[in-house]
Amino acid sequence: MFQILINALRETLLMVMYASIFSFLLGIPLGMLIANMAEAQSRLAKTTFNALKGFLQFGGTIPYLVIMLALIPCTNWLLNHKISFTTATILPLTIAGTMMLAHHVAQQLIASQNKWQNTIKALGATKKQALLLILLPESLEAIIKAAANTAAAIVGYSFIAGAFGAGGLGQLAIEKTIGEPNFLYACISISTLVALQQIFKYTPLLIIKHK
Amino acid sequence: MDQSQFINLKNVESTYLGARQEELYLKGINLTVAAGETLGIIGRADSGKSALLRCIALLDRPLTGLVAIDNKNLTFLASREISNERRAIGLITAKAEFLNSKSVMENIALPLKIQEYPKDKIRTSCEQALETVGLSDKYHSTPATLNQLQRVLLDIARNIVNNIKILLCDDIFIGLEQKSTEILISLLRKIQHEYHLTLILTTNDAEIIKTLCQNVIIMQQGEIVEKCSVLDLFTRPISDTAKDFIRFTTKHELPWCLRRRIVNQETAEHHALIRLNFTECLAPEEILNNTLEAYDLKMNIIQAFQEKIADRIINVMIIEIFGEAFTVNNAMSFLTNNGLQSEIIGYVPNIN
Repeated sequence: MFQILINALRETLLMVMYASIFSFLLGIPLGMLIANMAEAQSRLAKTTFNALKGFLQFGGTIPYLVIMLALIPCTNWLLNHKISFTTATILPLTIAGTMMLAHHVAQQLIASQNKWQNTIKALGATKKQALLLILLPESLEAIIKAAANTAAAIVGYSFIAGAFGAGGLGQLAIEKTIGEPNFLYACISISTLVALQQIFKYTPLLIIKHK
Repeated sequence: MDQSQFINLKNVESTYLGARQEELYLKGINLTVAAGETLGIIGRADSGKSALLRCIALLDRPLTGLVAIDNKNLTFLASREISNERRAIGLITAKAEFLNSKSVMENIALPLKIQEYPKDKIRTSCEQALETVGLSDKYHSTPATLNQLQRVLLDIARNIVNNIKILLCDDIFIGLEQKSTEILISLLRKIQHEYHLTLILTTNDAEIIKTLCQNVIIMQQGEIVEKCSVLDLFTRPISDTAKDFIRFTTKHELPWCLRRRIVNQETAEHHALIRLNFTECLAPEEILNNTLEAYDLKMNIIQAFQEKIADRIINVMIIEIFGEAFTVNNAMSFLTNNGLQSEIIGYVPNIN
């Protein structure tokens, strides 16, 4: 019994960890790039900023299920290259996580930028100095919170992916509630997933609070 | 080098970013400020006081006109060059932003870090600035733990560490209690002397103007309507805004029971309440008695006191005067010609 649960947990953690790491690596710089373009004067930068902002806002409203279905050709391509379904699922999870995190990071940095606009000008800071010395330290807590929320959302998305056969606790829960019903398995897998989501969401917040 | 025109604004016009060009918030501003001068800016809300400071601080570029500091025209400089010039100008506001996740010391170090100073130089400069403003004990505290006065002091420290030549204070006294205001005034005097600063501040507090400033400009709807010395403002106001300011200030110095009865319009049931100022008048009582006799008027002295304005003693007398409006006006002109400046504060009802 425990072996099935441990395997499912391992698969979920694999999906969530990799997808979260890739989301952080792509989402935070993307958010910073968008925030940097917010005050740009050139027409190209303004158009790129509006396009990216619009895309992220639109992307945020799309349910994960739709993203996953839309990316089936990519997932199939990965599966054809002998990559397991669990690993292949990391791609849609990463895309959903990146869009979510980049949107939050950009929003937070733009808000800080507006707040600090005069001081930055008065101090004569360059864009890079403003970002590294003022905007990032000012927004760090909010960015960590956004990252924690993204990781928690990815846990939830992994559950949906599991329902479609990507493995992990999601698949186990579906199998044990619909396929071959087993109340204990279903309860344990669902509660583990919920606990996992809460751990991802609140541990960083607790660390910030006690820092 | 001409230090009497350390700050020179010529025909400056400016508007808000994104606003239509006809919505000017600064209209034809001509202003010169000497090095080391303390200039007060008085005006109602939306009169353009803060906008003028932002223009001097080079945070907003004027639409037309010229902004020159230390005989250097800064109007057409490129953004990078403007950044360097801006470092010589400090702007303090009541709502300054600080990095709440960093310590007081790290906040003060920010301008020096931006200029890439060595670490030991940053440390000594910050310690010195903190000592100057009296926040040495808050070295490791975070700005969130500071009270309003301490936050203003921190803002001052963050500016003086940058070797500024001009300090602009935008309504920094708002919401401060009497004791805190006194501390801030003496600190501003001290740093002005130590760092040879030119100080420009916006306030509508007469006491601050009297204690701290040498000259004053009065602003109304984006224009400078009067520039005068503080002494002239309180003894010989010219513009209506200046007169309103004196009236308002004097009213607030009167006892509450009288203040609540003052109205702005004269009727048959009201008589005038007048503020008399005199500095070098040798026999004010005699002049006053002669005037009353000559114009057949009666008066009642409400208050008489001395006040110190720009290091000079001014005698002030608040009187209520009974008589025809025309006669009262003539009497006031006569008093003015004899060295007793008079100003109607308002009208109070006759007591039957």
